[in-house]
Amino acid sequence: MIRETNAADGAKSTVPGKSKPWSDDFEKFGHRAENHLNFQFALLSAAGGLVLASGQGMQDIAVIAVISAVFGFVFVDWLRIAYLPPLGAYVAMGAAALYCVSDFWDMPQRSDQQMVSVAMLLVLVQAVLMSQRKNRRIFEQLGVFCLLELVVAAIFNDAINYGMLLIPIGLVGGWAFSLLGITSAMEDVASAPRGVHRSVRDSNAKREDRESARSGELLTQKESGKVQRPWIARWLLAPLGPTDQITPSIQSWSPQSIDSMVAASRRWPRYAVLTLSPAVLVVSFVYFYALPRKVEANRTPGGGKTLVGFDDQIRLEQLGHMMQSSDTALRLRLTNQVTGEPYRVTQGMYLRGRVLEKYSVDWSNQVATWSALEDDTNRGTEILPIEYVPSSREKNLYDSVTVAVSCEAMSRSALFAIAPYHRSGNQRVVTHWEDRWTLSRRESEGSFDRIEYRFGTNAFFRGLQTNWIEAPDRDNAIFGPYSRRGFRGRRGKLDVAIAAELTKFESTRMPNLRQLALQLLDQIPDRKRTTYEIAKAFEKHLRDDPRYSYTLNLDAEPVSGMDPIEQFVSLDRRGHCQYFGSALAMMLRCVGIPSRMVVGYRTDEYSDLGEYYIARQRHAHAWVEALVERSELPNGLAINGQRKRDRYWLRLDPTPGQGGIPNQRDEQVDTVIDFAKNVWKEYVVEMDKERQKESFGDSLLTSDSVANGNWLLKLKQSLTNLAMRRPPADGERVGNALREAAPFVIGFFVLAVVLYGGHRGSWWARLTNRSSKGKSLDPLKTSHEFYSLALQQLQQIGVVRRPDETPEELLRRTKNELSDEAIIGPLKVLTDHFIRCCYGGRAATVDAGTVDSNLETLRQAVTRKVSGRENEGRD
Amino acid sequence: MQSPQDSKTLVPRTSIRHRYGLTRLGYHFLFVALFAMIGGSIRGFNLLLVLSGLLISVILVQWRCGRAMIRLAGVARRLPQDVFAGRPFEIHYLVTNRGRWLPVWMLQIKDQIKNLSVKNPTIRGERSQSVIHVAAGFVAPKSSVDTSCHCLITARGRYQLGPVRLSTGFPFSLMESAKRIDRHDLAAQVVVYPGLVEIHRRWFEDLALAARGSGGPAARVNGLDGEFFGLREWNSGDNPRWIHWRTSARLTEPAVRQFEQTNRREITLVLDCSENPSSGNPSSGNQPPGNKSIERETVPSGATDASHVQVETAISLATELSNRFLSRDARSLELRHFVIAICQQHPVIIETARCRNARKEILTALADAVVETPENGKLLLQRTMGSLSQNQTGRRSHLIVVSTRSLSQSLGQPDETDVEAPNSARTLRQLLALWQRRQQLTWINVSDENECRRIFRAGETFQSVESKVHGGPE
Repeated sequence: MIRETNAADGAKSTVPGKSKPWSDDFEKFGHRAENHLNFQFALLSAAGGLVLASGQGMQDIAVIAVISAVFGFVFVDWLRIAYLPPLGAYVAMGAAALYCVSDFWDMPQRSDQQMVSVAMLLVLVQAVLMSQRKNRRIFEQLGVFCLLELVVAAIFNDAINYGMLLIPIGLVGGWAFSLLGITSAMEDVASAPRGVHRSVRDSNAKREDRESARSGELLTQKESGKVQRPWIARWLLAPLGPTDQITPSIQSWSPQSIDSMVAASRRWPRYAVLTLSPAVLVVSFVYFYALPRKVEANRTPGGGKTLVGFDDQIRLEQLGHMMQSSDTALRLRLTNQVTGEPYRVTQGMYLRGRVLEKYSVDWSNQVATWSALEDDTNRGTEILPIEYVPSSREKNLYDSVTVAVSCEAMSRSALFAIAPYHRSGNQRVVTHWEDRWTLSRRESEGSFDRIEYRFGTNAFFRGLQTNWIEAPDRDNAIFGPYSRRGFRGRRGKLDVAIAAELTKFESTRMPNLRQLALQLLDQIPDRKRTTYEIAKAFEKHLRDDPRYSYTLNLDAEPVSGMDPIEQFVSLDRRGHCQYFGSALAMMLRCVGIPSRMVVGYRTDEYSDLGEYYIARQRHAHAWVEALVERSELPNGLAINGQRKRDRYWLRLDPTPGQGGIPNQRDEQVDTVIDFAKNVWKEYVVEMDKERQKESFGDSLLTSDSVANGNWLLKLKQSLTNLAMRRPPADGERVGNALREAAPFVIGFFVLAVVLYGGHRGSWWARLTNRSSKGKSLDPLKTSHEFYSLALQQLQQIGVVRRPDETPEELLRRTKNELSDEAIIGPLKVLTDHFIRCCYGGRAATVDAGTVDSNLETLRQAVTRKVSGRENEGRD
Repeated sequence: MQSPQDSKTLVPRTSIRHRYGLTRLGYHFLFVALFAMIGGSIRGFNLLLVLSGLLISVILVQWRCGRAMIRLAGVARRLPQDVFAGRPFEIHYLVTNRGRWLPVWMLQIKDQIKNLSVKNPTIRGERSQSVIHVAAGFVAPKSSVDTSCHCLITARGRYQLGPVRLSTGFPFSLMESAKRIDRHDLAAQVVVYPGLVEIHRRWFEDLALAARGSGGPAARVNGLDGEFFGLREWNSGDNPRWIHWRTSARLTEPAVRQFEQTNRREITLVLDCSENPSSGNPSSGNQPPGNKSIERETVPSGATDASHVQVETAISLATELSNRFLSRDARSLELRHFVIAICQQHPVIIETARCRNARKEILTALADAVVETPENGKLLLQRTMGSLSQNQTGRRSHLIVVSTRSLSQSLGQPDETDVEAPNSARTLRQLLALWQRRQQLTWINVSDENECRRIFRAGETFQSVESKVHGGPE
């Protein structure tokens, strides 16, 4: 790094003018614009790095980007303490490239690590650029590197924060590029008088050479001692410093242009935000949604997070860990099949993920585990069951609901369902486990990306989810001791194994639990002692007994040799849903009732914005199902919407309180954020051909329509449908999104008009008065230019001609107001001349000699007066 | 300034060419956008498509904005009346926005200016032509903005302005939208008069005193400005007292009386544009500003810098004297007739009363003055003097010769004959004797250092230029 000895020299990279007085504004603005420009590009660099931060293992890269941006701005651009020379920058860039590319040699195949290396390379090169003294080329390179970082981040990061960061980056980038253009244009305007300035500088520096400077007031090429570099040197060494240009014999400079651009640069950001930003957004919106798509959207999150899914084996405390997270797992859109309206549930819904039959304890680690029976034959048909066709009477006793589920990427293949369910639509992305009423992904291995599926269910009636699920006929082999039908015989080893597992209970391990179950059983009268009643009594005990409390804080020390469920029932009496469920299942098995553990989600979080339910990780839940014979159903209970079976699974939820559902007030903000995330996911990240068609109808710009020229007709049709609020043909949902967005668009434009009007004062009045104002007389505009110039000079010292004032009246007034003969004299001559030209007869030619000399005299007098006033003001 | 019709080089047509080109940053932008678009399309990364959509929309907005603005923008140029070499002058540009709604932002105007007197533009072209940069930050719809530019031209001659190029990179500098206007009124010529020099007031008064009485006895008739001569139409600057009301009423336009003034000076200024053969020292002679001109068509081949500067000094002095004699402030000089003769291959002799048009004609002739070689100088001076001796006004007026040589150098030895002159013609010595006898000859030798010191106000000229350039008080 080089220490910068003369800070002022650095300022000349964008601000060549240093002389008085016309360059004051330019110099002031130049310094401010330069700092502003540096700041904007430093901000852009930091933002580019922050976009990368969302990827896994990319946090360090973001930190490097931010630190280099801050360092570059503070020490190189602002304080000008040190900077990296171009040669050093080239070396540093080469070293960075070698360092980052070396990772590629170790990894023969493409991997995320290679993308990390690319990101690192971008950030390191950007850091080198930030360490250099800035010029237009460096600024452009910084901008391009920010764009490349956005490209890399788009591959890494599909979270909504990418989209949210795009907005400030777009604004900062637009402002920075515009400012870069303005300062470059100002350099062009102001660079002409360089030779003049240099001569002045030289004349000040070498007084003895003044005579020669007088004779040749502008430096020539020979005098400057610099020759133009060859093109290859210019290209390679351009950043080393500007070459002196040949001073031409024709020079021009325009302070008025500088003032004009300075004034305009202050106004344009508001214009850009109000007009250009909407234009950019509209064009990019059309570009993104109207272009035909041939490729499926890539749903593999490069650096995104994969949620913990439900496995076939779950430890007792495992759900507690899952519930610490509030990440969204599922979004469920429930639709009433009859009305087509969104369906609302009243007391939440249970989404079953996995059914676990086997309970075991690893005594070495004192860990209890629920697991599913591992048997391939346990798998049911792969296609979801067809819809149950009820009798006409039964139709009114349940609600037919379609559930569309969007499941985030998870580590396991388990999906979630509301049982009993039936197929809806022609999709084959999920498989169905008949005896467990659970769904699973068709792919059992590999990455489990975000998936969307749908099914129909008759499990709801007036918002309430039924507790009963039909048991397949094969479960007839399983009988409880309270069965009134008696033993019917065994159907095979499998059923026996299942039956044995569902009722397996080791009484020696859980003596207290057994005692409790028997006590509760004793409290039930014999005539009421049915499976249903016993199960409900056990559930009620665990749920309502105040000795039990719900907590996610599992800090109780495990008692050696004691079953965790036994410890929960007899000692701790505190735990989360998995403990309560396990206790209930064991109590049921203790008295011979077949039971199993079900894990999944229970949620009632509803997004009013998106009209869907949200299941988060913290909604993970466990409950119990007990097998009940139809004959043991409570009196008067009719299970509707399902096939008539001999057995039904009864859902029992012994968890106290809301079953683990958090307070809704806490979820309002989360719901809004989730809605935004969902929109981002659905309409941006995963927008594909199907969704495009679903949301906007057939793409306007399909290859066929473009070839046939039909896209205009389609667009027209869509707009007509939108205007008439008429549903599009063939059930397409053309323009739904547009229709929903219309109020926002209109609101935005109203806001824009109000903002603009507020800034401009009476905007409408200006607009309406423009014509009349245009006709009004401008006292400064006269038929003869020289008099106009004279009036402009007078204006500088506060003498402004009134619209109704004659030249003679103005002269008299000036005499009264100013007693300066140096002004009055030439003004009198000019006034006389003007009167003669105007009223002396035919259009007269101007005696330029007199006019010019008097104008010059007047200008000098005015300049003296103005400078005198300024001096007085300073004193 | 010369009107466009006067020049053969003007293009009597309007040609507007639009051009839209990506800047370097724009190409980078487009490259990244295409990369993101192709990558997003092939691999199905929607975020890349979002990014490419934003980038492409920015480029599209840039293009449409720039295109609309540049098509709505118009420009008109206004030049000053007189332009002297070495003196800053101002060119005004009126930028117009014809649009109803769209404002024009950050409009740059590039006006080409080229020295038409350059002999070989390919050798020193970069010094003989330049581009005037002006900008207008904001022009509201249906309105105009006046912006100006200071110019400084150090070499006399004729300069061609135009075509004008309007361009804007607004808003993001990704694309430059430009319009090249090759229009009749924008293709103007500027005649840059030779640079004015600062001379001692005392010397000028002495010169004027020497010329007194050259026009005959002083007399004032009927209290006015001389003897009634006739009627003529009204011209700017005429004294209202001269209006002949009766005639004006009859003609329905003002007519003024003309007076013959017999009591005033008559001066003939002869400019010898040839170089001094004995000059070779670059530092000799006083060098007023504006004379360090470039290689011109008017400069003979083989001319040294010093001799060339001397000739330009002579031209500048002639310009200064002409300007003083013909300015309105010089009324006290009571000059009746002024004749200027420029010694060159085709001698220019302009005889005039004091009026604006004559001043302009004389200054233009001085701007176009061709520098002659030393060999031709004597012959051309002799030829010019011969023409003047046949001119009635020239004969009786006071003769001022501005030359790079002394009188003795010009006359040569008494026995020397003018071999190149026709036998019938009189020698230069004989011709000058007409004025010498009447003591009406003033010979100014600008190569004489002592004489220059007596004439020029050394040290002030540069300061005046310097302060002019920076807009400060002189």
